[in-house]
Amino acid sequence: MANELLRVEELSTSYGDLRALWGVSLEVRENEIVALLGGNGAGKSTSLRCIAGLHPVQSGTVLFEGRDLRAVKPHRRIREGLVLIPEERGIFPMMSVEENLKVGGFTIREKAGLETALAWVYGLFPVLRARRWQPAGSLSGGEQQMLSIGKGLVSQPKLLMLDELSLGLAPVLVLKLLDLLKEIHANGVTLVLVDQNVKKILSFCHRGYVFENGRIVLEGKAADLAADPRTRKAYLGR
Amino acid sequence: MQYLVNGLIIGAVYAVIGVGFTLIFGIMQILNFAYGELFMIAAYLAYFGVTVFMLPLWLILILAMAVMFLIGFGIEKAVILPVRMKIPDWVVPVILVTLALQIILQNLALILEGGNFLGIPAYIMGSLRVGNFSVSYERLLMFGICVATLAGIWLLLRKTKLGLALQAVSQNRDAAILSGINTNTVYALCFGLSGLLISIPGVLMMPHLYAYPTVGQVPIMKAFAVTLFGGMGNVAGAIIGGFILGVAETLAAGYISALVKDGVAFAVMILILVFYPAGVGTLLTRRKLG
Repeated sequence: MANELLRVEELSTSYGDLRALWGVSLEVRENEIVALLGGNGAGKSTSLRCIAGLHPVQSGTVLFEGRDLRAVKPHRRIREGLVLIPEERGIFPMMSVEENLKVGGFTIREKAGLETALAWVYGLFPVLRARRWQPAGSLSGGEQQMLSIGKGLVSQPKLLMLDELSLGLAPVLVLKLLDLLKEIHANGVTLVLVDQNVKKILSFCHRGYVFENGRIVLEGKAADLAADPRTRKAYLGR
Repeated sequence: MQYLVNGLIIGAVYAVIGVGFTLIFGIMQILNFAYGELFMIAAYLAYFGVTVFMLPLWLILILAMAVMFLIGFGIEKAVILPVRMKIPDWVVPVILVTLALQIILQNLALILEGGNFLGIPAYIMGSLRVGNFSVSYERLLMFGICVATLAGIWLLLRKTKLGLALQAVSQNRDAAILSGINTNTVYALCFGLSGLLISIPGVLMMPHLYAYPTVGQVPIMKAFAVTLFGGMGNVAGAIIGGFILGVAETLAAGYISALVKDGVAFAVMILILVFYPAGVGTLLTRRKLG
């Protein structure tokens, strides 16, 4: 079996008095594609935000390549190879496409390294090259999503976590993005996807976790989860 | 013509004052009420530089810029960072901290230096005469330094990695952190930069003003007017706003009465808030920083 990349153990946190996660444990192995599923407010996004360091962890541990992330400040985690593409598109609307990508490569020190990384991203998303001088806020929803993925890729992460990839996008565009993610995965990037679109995502992923009310209620191989009636139940409430 | 020239010169100074103020709002969404007190400290630095240490102007200016950068940086690290660490929604608490800082710094100046009005003679004598209007060399130099400063800040924001980081934090804080930008460093640098900017007018205006504990009230009113005019946090807007305020004030003083001069800033503020609250900078660019 491949090496373990991310391990989350008994993760708990809250928003004020409202408990959001109740001891979530999961793991992601190298070269896997893992789906986090569940309804709104089930804790998927919060888990990702805790892993990335945007939300404080109250108890439990997050290990990345065996290293306890409590010792790694949020802005240093990208240097470890851990990148989150947040919900609501993590882009800078008033900067050009190219400037956005340059911020994505902020941790790359050498100019040549940045150029190579930019060229790789432009190769994956030719539309971004065509629009490189345009303000990011003027792109279409799909293009903005490509930009936010592209921006996350510039640092050439080991693990890319995508929150609500298909939110607000046309089904055709979602299929196109999934194709691109397949290519990104083929380039050796491990993926964690959060999405509401269970069918499409499960046909694309290796394994999945189903969240309900801040807990993981179901986990297993994607095909098994797709066949399990409890997956549907977790989404629809009952 | 004479009024226009004078107005543009003072406008360049207002632009620098405005940029230093709007920069902090653009990046941290806070108002720095202690901004005028940084001007006050720079004015005292210039006074002692001239009277006690008898240093040349260029050296005073460079030293004041360096010291004020460190003071700005230090203020963020010493009193604002601890508040930000404790309170997740820190915008309003931090504004209150700057208000407290304003009062503390004013009274500290009163204790240390007394309430006297300390003045210095002109840095440079003489004026340039062309036809029937004249400009003093000192004002020309002031104009030159302020315009160079504005060009410098624009280059910094648009062409350097630090500028990219400042813009990123101002537009999407979470995404900036996820990209590996240390927001705490950015905030401290932003305060340092703001202190450096205000030190320039603080030193250069000294011969026309006095150093006294509440001298900061004058520039902070201008800073508010210029910032509101340009749009909160909009650097390009603040530059335009500075020049327009300078010209408007000089024209009002020349054609109406010197008494209305300081009222112009308030009139500008009220008009812009009533008719175009987003600020004129938004007409030029949606991008806030440069």
